[in-house]
Amino acid sequence: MNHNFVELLNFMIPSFSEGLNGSHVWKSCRKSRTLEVKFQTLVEMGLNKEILRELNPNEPITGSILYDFIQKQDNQLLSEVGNLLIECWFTNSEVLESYGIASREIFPHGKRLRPTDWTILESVFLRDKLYRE
Amino acid sequence: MINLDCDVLVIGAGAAGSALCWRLSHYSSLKVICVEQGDFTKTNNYPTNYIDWELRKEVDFSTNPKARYMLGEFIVDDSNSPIKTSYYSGVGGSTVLFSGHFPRLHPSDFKVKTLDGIADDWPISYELLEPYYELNDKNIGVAGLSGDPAYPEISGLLPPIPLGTMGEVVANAMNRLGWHWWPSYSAINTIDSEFGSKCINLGPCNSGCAQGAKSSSDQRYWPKSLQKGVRLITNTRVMKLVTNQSDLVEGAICRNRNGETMTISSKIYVVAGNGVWTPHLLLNSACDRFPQGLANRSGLLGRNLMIHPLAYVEGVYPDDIESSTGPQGCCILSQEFYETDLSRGYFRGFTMQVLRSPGPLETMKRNLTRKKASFGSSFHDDFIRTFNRTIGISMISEDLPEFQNSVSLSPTNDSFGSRIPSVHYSVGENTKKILSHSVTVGSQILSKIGAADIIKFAPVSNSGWHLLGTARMGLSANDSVTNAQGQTHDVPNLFIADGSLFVTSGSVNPASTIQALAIYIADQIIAKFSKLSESRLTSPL
Repeated sequence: MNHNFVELLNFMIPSFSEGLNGSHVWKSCRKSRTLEVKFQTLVEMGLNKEILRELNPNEPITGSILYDFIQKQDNQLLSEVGNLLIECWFTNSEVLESYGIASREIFPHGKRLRPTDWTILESVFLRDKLYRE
Repeated sequence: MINLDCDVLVIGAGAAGSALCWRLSHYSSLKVICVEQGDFTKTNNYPTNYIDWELRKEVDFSTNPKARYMLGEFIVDDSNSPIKTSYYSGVGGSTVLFSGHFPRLHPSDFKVKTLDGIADDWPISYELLEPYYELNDKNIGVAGLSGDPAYPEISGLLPPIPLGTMGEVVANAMNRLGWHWWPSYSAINTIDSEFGSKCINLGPCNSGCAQGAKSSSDQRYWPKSLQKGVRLITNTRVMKLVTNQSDLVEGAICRNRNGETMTISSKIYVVAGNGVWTPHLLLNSACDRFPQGLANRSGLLGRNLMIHPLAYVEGVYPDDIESSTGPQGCCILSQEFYETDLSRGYFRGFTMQVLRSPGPLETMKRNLTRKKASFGSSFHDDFIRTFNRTIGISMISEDLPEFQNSVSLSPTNDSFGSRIPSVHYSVGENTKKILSHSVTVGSQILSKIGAADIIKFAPVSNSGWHLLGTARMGLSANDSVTNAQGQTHDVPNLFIADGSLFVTSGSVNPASTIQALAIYIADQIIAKFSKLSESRLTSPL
């Protein structure tokens, strides 16, 4: 994967490719191909060549710089990339588990809601009728 | 060309058509055919079967029909409406994707003119419909609690869905405000029973229930009706109803996905396509004797469209309150502001529906859109700060009937070669006042809770599920399309049995009333045509 692209992704979602095993996120995501295509658009608009020359040559090209730069150039494209990125991120089992969210499919396991103590309703129950006839 | 005949042809297998067919199936020897333009939905295709359910629900099971790609889906031009139409075309209709929120109308909703001096009264009353509500509830399996002071007694309910921590937080705030609230009336099975397996809190009811606990019509009604001999023809659209010189419908011209044409002749025709598709079919059935559309001598067919504009408020609670756990649309409702109180500056009112929060992906998408989160160093913290802590409240406002809000025919043709429906809608002045007040009230609750990052807006754009009023029932042929039995004034063997009959909209989700109406109309059809195949009721009400 293009180094600059990885920089960009790691800025947008910190530790995308490292702390949470980003390559796995990448491979498991059904939208990753679309995301790569979007990145090709970035490349074609000169991200790696001409446009990068406009950046300060003495400054390392960080994800933050790329992000700000693309935002100015084509905010719509950046928005699409961002959308695809979080779609990959939040549909990955390891990622969800790292946030403490069950990693498995919610069906057939489901989730539990503890029973409610309905005495909480008492004051409403004791009210006069609210409807008109 | 295929030719079929029957005693009753029902057009549409959604909420209304399914309930109506079930009722008709109890009349022995009655030959009933139902034609549905969509297909059956398979529960193992529902998004919640998969780890990436949040992605899948945005495509094949999106609540936005324009995001779906489905054969049989019909297209609506709603470019002239600030509220976009939502629906699902298939067996079970929009109940496949509805949230299952299942309250009834109030008694006052049937006599708005008498009580408030506005709009019109229905030709039927709550009391007349009450046994049909009860019958439908029994078939559907409605969870809730009896004793609600906002309604006449409702009994026979399944145990209510637990509030969860978030619900309790909201309920306590409502108690401090002294406002009405009640656990949601939910078309959701909460115990293992004849209805099948109980709800396991998957969450997103509005992308189809993989557990089968939500009472969509394909799950609850169709198996019974098919078993009793109702014939259901799917993937086939009724293109036009053809009438004779006696103003009777004598045939329905249908076309299936393969382009094959079929004609179905019946004694009785019942259209159950709801507020957009029903007028669309009848307008497309215009002929020499009905140049303005079939059964439209009143000029009211397609008029008085009511959509129930929604207002929405949302805030973030300081702690994790597991707000994403549980059926998304079914937690708490409040009808403190349902009935008219002119000191508020408007007629009628609104219902508040407390919503559980979405899954992680949708949470973060919304956060980014609403500038409550950003990419970069704060990304993870922004997610943790909001996921499972977000509380949403939607306010369903009563929409009054207004002549200019309408469904008509667009010049554009669809893939079947028929003109697509065009919706012209604007939010009325009274409704605007309701929306404005409801936003204030909703925000008050969130403030009471101590929620932060409160956002509020109205109307919600992609919320046009409740499509009502476009073939209203009434006592006079001059000011309504059908009589009190759902029979069109102009065409004696043509009935309508869906939300388009609504005279006023109330401010609750309409599915319960639509189905009660459909069962009631099934009985009216049989009563009017008692000699129809010498039918007899085998299962008395």
